[in-house]
Amino acid sequence: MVKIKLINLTKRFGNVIAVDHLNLTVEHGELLVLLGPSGCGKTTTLRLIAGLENQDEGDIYFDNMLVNDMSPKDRNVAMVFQDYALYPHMTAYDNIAFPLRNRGYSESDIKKKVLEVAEMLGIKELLDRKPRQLSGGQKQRVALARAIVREPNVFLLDEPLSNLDAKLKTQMRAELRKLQKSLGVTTVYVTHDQAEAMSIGDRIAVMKDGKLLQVGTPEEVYENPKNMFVAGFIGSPSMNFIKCIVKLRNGFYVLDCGDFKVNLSYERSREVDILEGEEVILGVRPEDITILPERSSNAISASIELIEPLRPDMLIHLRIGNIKIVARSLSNLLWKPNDHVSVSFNLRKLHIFKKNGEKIM
Amino acid sequence: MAKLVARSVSPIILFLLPALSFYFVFELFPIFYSLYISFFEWHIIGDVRFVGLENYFKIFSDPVFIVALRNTFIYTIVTVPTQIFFGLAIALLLNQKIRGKVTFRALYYIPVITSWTVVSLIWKWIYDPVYGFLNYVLLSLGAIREPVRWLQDPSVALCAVMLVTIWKGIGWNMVIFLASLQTIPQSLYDAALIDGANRWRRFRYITLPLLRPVIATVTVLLTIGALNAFVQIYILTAGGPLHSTEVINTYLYKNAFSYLNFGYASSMAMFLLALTLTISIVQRKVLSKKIEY
Amino acid sequence: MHPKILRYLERFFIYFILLIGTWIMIFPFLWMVSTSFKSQYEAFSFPPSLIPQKPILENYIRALTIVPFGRWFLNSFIVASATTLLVVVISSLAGYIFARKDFRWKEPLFYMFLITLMIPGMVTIIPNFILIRTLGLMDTYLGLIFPYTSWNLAMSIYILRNFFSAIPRSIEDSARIDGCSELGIFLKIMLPLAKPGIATIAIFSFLYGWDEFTWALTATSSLHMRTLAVGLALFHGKYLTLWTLLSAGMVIATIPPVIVFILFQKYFIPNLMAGAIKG
Repeated sequence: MVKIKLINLTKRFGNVIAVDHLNLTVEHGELLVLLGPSGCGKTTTLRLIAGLENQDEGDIYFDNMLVNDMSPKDRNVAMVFQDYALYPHMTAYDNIAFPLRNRGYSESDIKKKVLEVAEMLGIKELLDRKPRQLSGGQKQRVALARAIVREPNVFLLDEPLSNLDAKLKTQMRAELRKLQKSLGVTTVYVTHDQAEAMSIGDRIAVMKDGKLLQVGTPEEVYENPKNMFVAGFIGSPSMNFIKCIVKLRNGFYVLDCGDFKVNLSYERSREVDILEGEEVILGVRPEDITILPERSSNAISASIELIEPLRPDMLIHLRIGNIKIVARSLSNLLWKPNDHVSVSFNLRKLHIFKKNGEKIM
Repeated sequence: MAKLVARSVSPIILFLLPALSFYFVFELFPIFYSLYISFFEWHIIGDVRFVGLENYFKIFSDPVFIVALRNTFIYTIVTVPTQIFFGLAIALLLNQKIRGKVTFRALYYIPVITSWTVVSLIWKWIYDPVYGFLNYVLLSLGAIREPVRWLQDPSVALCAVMLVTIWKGIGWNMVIFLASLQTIPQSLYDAALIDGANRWRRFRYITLPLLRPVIATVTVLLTIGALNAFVQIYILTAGGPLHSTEVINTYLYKNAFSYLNFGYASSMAMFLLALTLTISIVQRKVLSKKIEY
Repeated sequence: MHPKILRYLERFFIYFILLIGTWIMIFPFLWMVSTSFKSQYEAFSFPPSLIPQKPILENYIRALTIVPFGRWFLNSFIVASATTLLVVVISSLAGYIFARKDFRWKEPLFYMFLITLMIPGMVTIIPNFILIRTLGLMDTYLGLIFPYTSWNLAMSIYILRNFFSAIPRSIEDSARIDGCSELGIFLKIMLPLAKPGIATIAIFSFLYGWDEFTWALTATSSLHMRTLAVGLALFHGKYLTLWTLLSAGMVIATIPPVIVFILFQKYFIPNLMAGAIKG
């Protein structure tokens, strides 16, 4: 169980910078999720930590040890691959035993350890089978067992759930988290699924184009996204983004969004530091939009375009002039498309971004 | 008129007729006819006399045939594994991250696509004891003290012939192995690397087992080819010197077309047929037992 | 930096071995070409050199005149081309049937064809010799073409059957709905879609006809009916030391196969897989 430190990690493939001066720390026993769209560099980062690739610049530390030049074997990491990478011609038992055999453990020791791990993951009866005789979920457990049996310093998981069906995914998510907590091994988990990241991670590191955009607990990245990309990537359905121009009225800031205006409350107006006339982007999450049936003075009038009855929630697609937004609300059978309603935003939960994506408040 | 016929006869038969006719006349019928001839003593000109199994008994008391049989076995047992070994080795090297794979592959394949006739003649010139390139190189390097009479010395002639076969076959093996190696997912090697397997263990426990089906198939094909070798031996040494390179095929051909002893030669042919079929079937059974997935 | 140096060394080592191997593979051919440009004097001089010091073209010119070399070239070309044509036509018809139609004897017939791939060529030489002689086809083109065709049918039918099987039936069905006749389907849809397979067997049949030695040796007797493969060997048998001339002849004889290989390289490898893996 180690603390991983990535300092200025950079990796290029030809002209493409896959990992761009990444600085990141993974604490003892933490489950850190590397989250991002495909091509953002998260898998490459994982492979760099594993030692399967070598970085062009930067350092990797396990606790105080510099591991840059160490082979994967010496780094004592364990990895679960997206396609499980089980040796097809070996039984599950031999697959799990393989890393131990490579290190020269005695057969009796190996047997003990393998059975122990198999018991832990509930695959004892499957040990005689070959990979092609196993289901997806079972294969994944065998892959996990193979990783665990070595008692490694670090677990590296590369989109381990992406090949499972939806129901199994949710179930395995919980199991994985429980397992990691009980073993207490420092874990780096790669995924592109933000729901997965939110449910399983102690902290989430959002990456894009090789750069680290933000790292924090799920609450932190959800409530306080530092830029538009993170704000839009996390949360489903994603945050609504509306272009506005800043205006000043009586010392209060007003956001003029074209078809409607938002008055920022007095306190907010003081925290903020923007110039009049500047173009900004207002971000508000669907659950922070309230729909009222009648007009009220603070509210903005809108018409309902489409209702997605997800149950227990509903997603309501609204139209304010030329602007379209999505709101989330509990089921209400009274609303129909083309109804005119009023919406109001939770002023405490507004996010304002500069045009380049940076957070202002 | 043709249309009437065509419409009444099922298209299936019509389409198959050419293939079946050719096949029957020049392949199927000859096999049985060969068996038939083997029971006779027949010199192409002269009497034909039924002798039953006498030819078969004669084969095994014919000292030249025994030598040919022995040579055939040696030839097979040496050339098949050697070709596989070198073909696999080159394929493994070529499977690494290097540039020019396609070019290398094509160059190694050139001996394969060249005819046996041309290959044999080229090597005959290279093997020339006095003016050939091989002796020149070996003498210059000090590897030998006197020129070796490659194709004229009974103690080395068979080796010389086998070398040509191996040389010509490596490319063929290599291409097949390379294609197979490329179907092994890289993630298996990554996993093994992380599991602490060194290069040898990765080869032994991942590459080799996954290649087994291909190696088995290749072995069967090469064995059949080795048992049927003829052209290169005929051109290089014609079975000499002193029958040191005589194989079943060359002796068979001599008996048929030089000594004009059709009956006797046919019995040899039948023996070869039985031998080839037996070995193929046995090999397949043995090798496919281990292959499971 | 140690691991990096090790890696470079490893790369170097791999290239080194591969290059040595390549050299071993192609050197004999270079030697052949080189000899073809040498005079007899130079070919037999000591020390031998790869690049001829006084290259001459005479060998090529004489090769075409001293023996009926041009005639041999023509023979090989005719035999190989005719064989290819026959094989393609016959095995397309048969392969289509095996792929698409069902009938009682389908399995046994198909296996019968496959078995012959294991049968040594020498087994049928004597009977075929008698047969050809009886039919009066000794020393003729047909005496070569017909047997060659027959012997290539098994492999060709096997390959084409695989190619035809891979064409989705839905394409055929939609053609039927569009009113196409069965023959039309075969000619306008199946054949064009199986082009790679046809190309493959065409190439192999051609090379077979061009290179084949044993039967050509047996079934031809007069000098002007010999094919290249046999002619070259006989030439060597007669003029044991005229390596220079022979080399020129061999170079010329090898040019068509090399052209075929260069043009159709991509067809060689897949065919190997089809043939070898499913041995």
